[in-house]
Amino acid sequence: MDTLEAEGSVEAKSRARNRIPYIGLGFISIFLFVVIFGQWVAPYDYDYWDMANITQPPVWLEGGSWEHILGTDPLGRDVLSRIIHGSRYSLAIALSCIAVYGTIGIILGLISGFLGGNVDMGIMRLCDLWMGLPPIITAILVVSVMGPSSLAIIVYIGLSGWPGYTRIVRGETMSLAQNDFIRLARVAGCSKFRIITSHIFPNIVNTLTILITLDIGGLIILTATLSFLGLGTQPPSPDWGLMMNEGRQYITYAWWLIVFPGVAIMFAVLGFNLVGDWLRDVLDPKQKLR
Amino acid sequence: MTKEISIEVKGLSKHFPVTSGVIFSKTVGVVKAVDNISFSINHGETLGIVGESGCGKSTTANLVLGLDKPTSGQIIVQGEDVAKLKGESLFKFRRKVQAVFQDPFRSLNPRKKIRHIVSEPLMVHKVGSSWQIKQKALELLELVGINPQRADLYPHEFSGGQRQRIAIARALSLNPSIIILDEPVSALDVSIQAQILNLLMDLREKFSLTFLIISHDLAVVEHVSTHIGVMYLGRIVELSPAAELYKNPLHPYTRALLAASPVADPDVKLKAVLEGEVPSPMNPPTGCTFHPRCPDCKPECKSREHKMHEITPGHFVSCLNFSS
Repeated sequence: MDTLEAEGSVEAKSRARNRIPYIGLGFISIFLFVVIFGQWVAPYDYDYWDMANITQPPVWLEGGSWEHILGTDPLGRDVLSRIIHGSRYSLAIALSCIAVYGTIGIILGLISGFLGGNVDMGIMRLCDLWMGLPPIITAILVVSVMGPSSLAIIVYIGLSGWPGYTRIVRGETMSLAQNDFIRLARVAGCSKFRIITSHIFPNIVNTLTILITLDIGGLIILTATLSFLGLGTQPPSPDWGLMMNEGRQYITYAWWLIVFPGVAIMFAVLGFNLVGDWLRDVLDPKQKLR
Repeated sequence: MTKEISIEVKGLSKHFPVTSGVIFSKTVGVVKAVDNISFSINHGETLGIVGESGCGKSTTANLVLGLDKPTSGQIIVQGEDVAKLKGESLFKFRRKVQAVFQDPFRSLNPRKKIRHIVSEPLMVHKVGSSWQIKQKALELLELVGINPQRADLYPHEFSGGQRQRIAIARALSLNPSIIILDEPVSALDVSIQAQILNLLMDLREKFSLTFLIISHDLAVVEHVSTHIGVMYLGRIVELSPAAELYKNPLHPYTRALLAASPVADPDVKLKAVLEGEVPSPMNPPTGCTFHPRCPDCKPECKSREHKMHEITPGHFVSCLNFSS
């Protein structure tokens, strides 16, 4: 039984290893390359106004030129350069959000799952309560208190996103706590803190890796949405969602202002999702569906 | 051998409440997992506890290890009542009593190198410098027959028997005087079982350890124990020196267990000696809990509870047939 299961999982693992998501990894590599080296790669500064060439179409259309490959906006700013610079905003905001709510969620989940009893009950009910808050209205509330900015987005998502992590970490912790090595750790005299940090946490790292990779894609969309609604990053920052918002009013005659940032979002998210799915198969072949 | 008592258990009980209802839950009954058992183990001796699954063997192990609090009764380990230990004194108690559990695939943290698994108790109890601890871990691995050069590997790179050796090395690391073995070999192949049991006996000799070994397999217990207790539905029904129990089993349940253990002869057919299932421990039979399945049941067995009687020196049995 045990060996059969092990063989099955090994097989699933090697199958997953064999179909490496080159496309997804490619998207992520381009994205990270642009994040790190964008400053030198981008042809212009994101806030450089080329007033001689305002609302210029992309190079392959009539009136386009190689100076502005993806065209310019009504202020003469280069769309390609703004997208390249904007990648940093997307990743930085997404990672900051995960850092905030991941920390809260993981700590609460570990405590809830390991201590059980009334503590668990309290934390779980708090999760239910938190998940019941209507997201957009809460976002507007946070923004009206703090004023629209990237920081407001991080605070809002950071404080609202943790219940999902808490639930998953709690479940994992509870099933791990059944293992004999946890009982033996108690027999050895380990403190609760040591059991949680050195026996339980290392065993949920795989799950967390998968969760975070899959989450980055979703967060890029969410932060772009909030910026699109005007709740987040403010002009003249080249945030992708904000760029789409600014391009909205010109959509009838300057479609490139809204389409190219949208395509950038799509490929970045697609890359993280493809790699996240693959990681799930490799790191956790037993847990096919979640 | 000195007759110093290592573990003494007096009237030990552990009852688990059974609740029903989701919001206003109420207790609808209790499972008497361990019900008023008593035994004692002298220093250097080995008590084997046998019984069917669900009879309270593992609960007894948890209680003696101080992982669970008893409902009533006392567990006195080298003069200390385990149930009353807290904080610092419980921490010190951990150095004296260690354990090895059933499933070697679940008892080693898969994310740790075996060197760290073996040395963790030493680190927790701050025994020596980090270099000394490292050396000690390698010595322990060598002692149980694991090549110390493999100390930097992870548990999944070892076989079941090797993992159980690693678990034993870890249990030995604090120089305990008592080791609780909860089904130490039942997850292993028969050929490996003998090796592990022999290793345990060698170590017992070498470090003058006291064992409490828990198993469902009479053959395993016979191999290593000096004394044997037979458990049924949370109670010990017979307690005796090992040789005496095999020569002269008294309780009908013990006799049935012995008759049911396989013989190395393909022509001998095993008889199903006992009929029926183990009754629910939530609602145990009145009188002698064994009476519904007992081949020698008398009418008064159904109503009268009875205590352990000493038939010959050291041989106790709880059965009406032997009470007079």
